Amino acid sequence: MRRAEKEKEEEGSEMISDREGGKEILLQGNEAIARGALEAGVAFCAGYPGNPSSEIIENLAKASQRLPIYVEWSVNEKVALEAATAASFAGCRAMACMKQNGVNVTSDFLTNLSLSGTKGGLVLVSCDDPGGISSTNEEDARWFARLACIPLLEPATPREALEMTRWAFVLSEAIENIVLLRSVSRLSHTRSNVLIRGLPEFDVKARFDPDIPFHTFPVVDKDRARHEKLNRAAHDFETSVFNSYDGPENPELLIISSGCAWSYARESVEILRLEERVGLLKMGTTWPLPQELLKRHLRQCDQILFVEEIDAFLEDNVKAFCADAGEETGTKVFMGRSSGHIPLCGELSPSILLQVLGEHFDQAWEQDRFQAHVNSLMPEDLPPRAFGFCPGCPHRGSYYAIKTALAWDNRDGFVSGDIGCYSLGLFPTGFNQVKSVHAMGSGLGLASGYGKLDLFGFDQPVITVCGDSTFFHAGLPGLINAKFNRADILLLILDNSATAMTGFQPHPGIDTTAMGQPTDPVDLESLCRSLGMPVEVADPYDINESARTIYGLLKQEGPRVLVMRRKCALVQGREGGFPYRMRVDPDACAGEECGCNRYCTRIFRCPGLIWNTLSKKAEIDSVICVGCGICADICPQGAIERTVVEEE
Amino acid sequence: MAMALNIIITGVGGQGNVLASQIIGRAAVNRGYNVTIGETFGLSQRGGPVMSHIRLSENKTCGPLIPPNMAHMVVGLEPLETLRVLKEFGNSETVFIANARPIYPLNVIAGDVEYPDLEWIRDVLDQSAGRLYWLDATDTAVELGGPIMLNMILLGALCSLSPFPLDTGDIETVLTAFLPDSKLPANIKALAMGAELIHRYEN
Amino acid sequence: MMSETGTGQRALIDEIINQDLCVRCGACVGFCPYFSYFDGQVVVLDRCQASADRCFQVCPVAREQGTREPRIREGSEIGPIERVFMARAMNSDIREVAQYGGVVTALVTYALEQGLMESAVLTDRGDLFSPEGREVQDKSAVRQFSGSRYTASGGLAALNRAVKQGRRKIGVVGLPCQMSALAKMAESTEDPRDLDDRITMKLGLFCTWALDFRKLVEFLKKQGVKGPYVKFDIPPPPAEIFQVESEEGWTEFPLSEIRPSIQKGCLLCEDMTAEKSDISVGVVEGQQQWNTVIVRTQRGAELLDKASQDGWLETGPLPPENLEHLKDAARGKRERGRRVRDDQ
Repeated sequence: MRRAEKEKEEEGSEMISDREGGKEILLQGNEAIARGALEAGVAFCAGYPGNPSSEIIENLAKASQRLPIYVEWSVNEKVALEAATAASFAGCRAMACMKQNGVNVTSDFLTNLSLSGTKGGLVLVSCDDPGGISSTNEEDARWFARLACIPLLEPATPREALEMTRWAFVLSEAIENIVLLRSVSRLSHTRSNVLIRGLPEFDVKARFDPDIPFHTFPVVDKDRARHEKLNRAAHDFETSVFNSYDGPENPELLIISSGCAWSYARESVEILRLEERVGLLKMGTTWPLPQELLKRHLRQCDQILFVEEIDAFLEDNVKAFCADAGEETGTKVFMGRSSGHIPLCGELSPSILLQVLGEHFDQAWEQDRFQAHVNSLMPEDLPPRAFGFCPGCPHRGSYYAIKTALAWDNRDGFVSGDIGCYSLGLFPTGFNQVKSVHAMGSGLGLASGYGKLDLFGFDQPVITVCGDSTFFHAGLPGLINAKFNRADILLLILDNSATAMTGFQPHPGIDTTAMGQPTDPVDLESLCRSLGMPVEVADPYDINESARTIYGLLKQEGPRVLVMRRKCALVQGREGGFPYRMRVDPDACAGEECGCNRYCTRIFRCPGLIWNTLSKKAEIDSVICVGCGICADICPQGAIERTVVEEE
Repeated sequence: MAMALNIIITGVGGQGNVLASQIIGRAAVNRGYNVTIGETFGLSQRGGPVMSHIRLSENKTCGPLIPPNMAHMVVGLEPLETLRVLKEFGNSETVFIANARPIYPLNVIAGDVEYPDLEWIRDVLDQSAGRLYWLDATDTAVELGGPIMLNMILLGALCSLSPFPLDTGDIETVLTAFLPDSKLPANIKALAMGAELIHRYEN
Repeated sequence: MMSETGTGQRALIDEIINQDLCVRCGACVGFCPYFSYFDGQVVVLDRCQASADRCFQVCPVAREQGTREPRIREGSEIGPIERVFMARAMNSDIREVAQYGGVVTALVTYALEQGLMESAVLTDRGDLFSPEGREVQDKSAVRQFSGSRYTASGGLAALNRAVKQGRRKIGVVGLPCQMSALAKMAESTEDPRDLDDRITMKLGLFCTWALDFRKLVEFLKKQGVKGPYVKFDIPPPPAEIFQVESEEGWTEFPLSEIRPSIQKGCLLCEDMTAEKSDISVGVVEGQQQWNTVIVRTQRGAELLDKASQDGWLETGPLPPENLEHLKDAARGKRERGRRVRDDQ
């Protein structure tokens, strides 16, 4: 089905770039955002990959094959926003897309950009990840709208995502400032019927007017101007179609909700048959607050429940507003994340909303009996499905070699980790070698700090690991810092030639751009050597030799780099697979009698290498094993055989 | 049809879950339904669970998550993941189509935890769900050319059961639109085999 | 076979390795995948969690329960003796490369040539990293392994690997701790291998103490002597010096400066003359070209006789004052071991 998926993707992008409109098609939230931008005539799109945002730029990159637009994967989110802003300054509509962490990276530029203002419509898209399902945090990027004093839009459905994105460009041009559009995983990765409209002619001419500079001076004047722009947006928001109310005139409870979470509230009200008692105010424009609209609804009801993803953003802002507008709105009871009526942390769900509303209206949820029945049959929790590296993943080999080298070294060494698939080095799949993970490139910054602690008696060796894409993104400054400040640092660049975590987007180390054009890749080794540090290269599949190399490097001092180079196993699989067929020789495997205590499955943990509970011996799961061959070197009995598959 | 028809496809990364749900989605849009498909995949490439919530309605747009215990039909590509769905989304009427072949989690392979007994999984499903179809669909998939055919087989099984409103013809139309001609016959065969498995199971 | 009651890997880690008492004999390395010897250290690669504790049972440093005699018996200082005399290799090439009389090199070469051994577990000279144990099958290669290392070098890891390779007639050359470990391996309830059958000859080397290789290297580095190190030597008393040969030539240090690098575990050891061996070999004070030889077992005697008859060894009586000296030294080590163990 791989071929089918590829063609399906192509068909998807065809739909995205279809010049005709007036059709209803199935689009993912992220595809809808991409389509909305195209319908707005966007010229320039840039981003950095990251779940759950990646599909926006991916789809636009495919659309660029058919439409005269420019799309790039930038080196990081700040550069993405800066590059997109250049297009705006030159009068083009532009968009920058990223996940919530990426907005942090842009923030220094963003908070200054909002002072200088923009020209061509400029939209910043943040896809947040409630619950941190594929993130290091569950940050709510909406606060950046307040921080930077820019308008904030929150679509609730794919259809609305398209409409809102298109309008965001209009709004941006009207107030001459950047607009933040905020999605969440659950919207970005939801498919739904979406009505598309026709695409405009892409006949934009880019020109920067030297008479109109963009800067932040005088700061106070620009800040005042920024607030005035925000007021204009607030004025527009009062009548926006993206805010709507559904419910009785004087409800017993007013739910104020935004984004995807609104649908949970709506369905819960229906399921509990509370339509006559609960009013639901759906907010699509959440900063600045449309104050008149809010006042109208707040006057109707004294019990207010906020339903929003992730932080108590609306909740806190509306409360603050009510402190000013109290005379007009009266005294309220506010319920939400801040008050504890809704869990403070984690993703919302219909289940949570049913519980909250059920308790508020003292209404039992009728399915409790079924759950009790299942509980009686299934008293214990089911085993979780632990995450692990893919079969054949070079990171498994890298961490095995690191583990071995650090054990040999025997000085309590550890790994300062970074962001990517290899963050899983925190867990048993990476032999728990990684001891810290925070932000892109932070592993290097931390390592450069450890590298100076010798002054205070610190004598543990530190290895920092960084993927190739992450290294370009934000790792380089940390390495330069280590070099300049003469810090002891051993950097292992886990070069799998892909931004694997997020779906194989190109990065500066690869010879093709997002738009499929050939380019000169940045050579990692030359780059590090040019900083004047020794660079070695090792093969993560050769775990013994890699361990010896790492051990040797641990004994050295100063900044030094080892590139652990192997293609991502998924990429290798697509490019023809691996040369080996693996087999466990049942005669050589001593099984439970070996004394190895199931080393291969218990410690090495490759999904392709399993324990047969009947024979009590290891065996290869031929459905899962890809034939990378690493495990042949781990069995103390040498029972794992690696044979070269003959070319057919 | 009720307010909406709620279908869950559950499994682990690499089983073709997302593709199957998209095919259903397109076929349903073609038939004029309002479709919402919520996908949870997180770190699916790395062996994690993948779950799609497919919601079909004649007149309204549903949210991306099926409310608790309101799934009408569950397609389980993997037994443990199927059972996981039961308590949260199943009810005494839910139709379960469950593949019997496990994919062991790494923590099971490593011996940290035990994979539940398959007969026990089957019993719990049987005693809780409205109907259970417990199928050796991976075996059938391997006979048809590989484990990757599993999703099509179970899609075929789904098409042959009520209250699923689409038939294999609807699915074939979508497949024809984006499968190369060479791949089409095997996939159509898989759909038919799915229906056949249900037929055999019922008799 | 798996004990349900053993302490597992825990005991070895807690009582020996984490107490810095490991003497790097290598007995626990290479049997299971959880321990490794590398660059002068035995390290824990992974936690095993099995209850079997073979690794602890075979450790020569682990205290044996209730076996110790209350006092050192007269005549027991150097263990069981079949014969004691001095000897040297007839072959002058061997004597050239050997540190002293070349008896061990000659015996191993001879045994391999005669098929009395299929392979021999020896210690290499180290290359980029520390010396380590090697299995040698080629008799002409044996002389590359001659000379003292003053470290145990994890040599028994090579034995464990050799057994896995299915070798049936293995000769082992090792320090007293390694000879003790071999005896413990043969006795271990957790060791399923018939080691007594597979090891055909145990050649023990006299040892007062061995050095912690990494501490030694650290010391040498601080003193400006860079590796790789070709050879170490401690000339017999009263020299009281330590010599190291590196690329820059020979350097000397007073023995007192080296003593801090002595393995802590060695100070617990009561065995100077490798009492659990078939043949023990050491220096002869005042006679650089000869070795002291203690034959302890029947099979040891047979090998020695054959080698002598075939012209590989030249033997002579050990002067009585040398034997007395040897006994004094051995008694000294035994007393030291008891004292240190009791002070623990």
